[in-house]
This record gives sequence, structure tokens and C-alpha cells, in this order.
Amino acid sequence: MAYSPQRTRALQGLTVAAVVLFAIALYLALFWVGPERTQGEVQRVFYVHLGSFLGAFLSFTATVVAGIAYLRTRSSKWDTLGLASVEIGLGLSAITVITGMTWAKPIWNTWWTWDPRLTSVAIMWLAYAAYLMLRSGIEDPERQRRFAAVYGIIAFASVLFTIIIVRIRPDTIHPVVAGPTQADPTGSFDVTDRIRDTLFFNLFTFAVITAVLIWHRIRLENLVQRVSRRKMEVLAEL
Amino acid sequence: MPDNIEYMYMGYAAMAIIMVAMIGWIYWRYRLAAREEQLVEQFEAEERAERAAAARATSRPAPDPGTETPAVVANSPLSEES
Repeated sequence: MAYSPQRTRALQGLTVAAVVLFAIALYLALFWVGPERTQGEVQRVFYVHLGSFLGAFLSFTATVVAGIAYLRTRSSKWDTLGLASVEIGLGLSAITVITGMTWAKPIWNTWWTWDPRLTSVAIMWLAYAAYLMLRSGIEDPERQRRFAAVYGIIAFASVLFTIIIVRIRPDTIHPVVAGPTQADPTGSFDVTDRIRDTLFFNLFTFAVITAVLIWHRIRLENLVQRVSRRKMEVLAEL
Repeated sequence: MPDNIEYMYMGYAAMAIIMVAMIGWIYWRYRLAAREEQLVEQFEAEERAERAAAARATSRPAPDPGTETPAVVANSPLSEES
């Protein structure tokens, strides 16, 4: 499959935009916004922590959309989107977890605790890691795509659970940035105008980075599938 | 204000490592797949060339008995002259 030059140019342009945005986002988070009064310098991790979670959320949402679209159309392009978005989502949620741990150590005095939010995010990560294992465990391509689509839709429950849990469980210590909470979190801070602007810029940047990474991953998958098909054709001719 | 800048560095370093790993993995697999595609193309081209050569060999016209056979017969010890 040959890509149109316009699409390739669009991907190149978006990639450059993502790099520039990322550089600006880092400048804003590390230099432009001052350190938070009560938490100190480690609060700057928050911009990447939340940005990467947004990226993971968008990726896993794309997996659901791809799963539904595949089950309706049986077009393999949706399966490719599902696979690409799960892989990128896993990477981004790994960033969320690890940056959260580095923030938790000085603020909560522990790297990890089995808090409802932390437990649910660990379950979410494992649920999507299982998606990749499920795929590799099925040989029949059509069956693999169908099972992956269904699993990708079901696994999204873990994402929703992760988002909702801090709002419904009173025993969580994880701070809530937006919306109501029944808990008394440890590590909340006042959001100043600069913190808010930096946060929104980082969220936007991570959304663009997510789109670019998924797009590149889709191109890789298309290439891998094309090479595999050609190899099969060559072998069949021998 | 608490002094915890090393944890901030740690967080950003972890992010950088995971990002580089993700991008590097995509790039490395892309290079690998592109190289594999080149090899398949090369193999296909060689196969085509071999087939074309074989087709040329089989479609070559058969030797004319009227031109080649007499020379052989003339020099043969079994010819009428000998």
C-alpha cells in the first residue's frame, strides 16, 4: 500500500509540531511556572503525569472506537488502529504510573500504596498488557482481530473505573484535579493561573504526541503486514 | 518550601526514558521491516530473472537437421566414405 504524499506530509508536519510543542511544554513546566508553595519542585511532575494520563485515555478510547468499528465493518484497518492505540496507551500510562511514584515518595513518603486509585490504574495497565498477550496467543488472524476488538471494548471499563474511583471512594488519598470528591486527599494544591495555563498546554501537547505516535505505529504495522504478505506470496510461488 | 528537586529530575528522566524507548522501538522495527521488504524485493527480482532465463532457454528453436547432421555424418567413421 502506497501512501499519498499529502498524508505523508501531514504526518511529517504533525511530528514536527509535536516536537516543538513538547519543547515549549517542557520550558513552561520547568522554567516559566514557579515551584508550588507547599510541595516544592516535585509538583512540576504533575504536568507530565496528567498529560500522559490524558494521552493514555485518548489511546484507550481509540481502542474502543476501533473495536466497535471493526466488529461492524470487519475491516483490518480498525484492528491496526486498535493494536497501535493499545501499545501507545500502555507506554503513556507507564509514564503516568512512574511519574506518580516519583511524586508520591516526597509527598506521601512512599513510592507506592494500595490506594484505590493506584490499584485501579495498576489493574488498567495489566488489562491492556493482557490485550497484547491475547493477540499473540491466537493464530487465526480473523479470530485474533475479533477477540482483540471485543477485549479492547471490555478493557475500557478499567479506564472508566480509574477515573471514577477517586470521586466515589472516600478512602483514597489521591488528589482530584477536576470535579467533586468524597475523600480528603493528601497532596492537593492551589491551582494558580500559571499552573492552570501550563497544565492545559501540557494536556494539549500530550494529545498531539499521542496522535503522532499512534499514526507512526499504524504505519509500522501496515509495513509489517505488507512484508508478511509478500513473504507468503514468494513462498507460495516456490 | 520542601527541597525535593531530585524527585522532579527522577520523574522527568523516567518520562524521557519511556518516550525514547517507545519512539526507538517504533523506529527500530520500521527499519527492520523495511530491510526485510528490500530482501524480499531482491529475492523476487532474482526469481524473475531466473524464470526469464529458463523461459528463454526452453523457447530457443531446435537445431535444423539438414545443416548440422551432414557435417557430423561426413566426419563419422560410420559414414559411407569411410
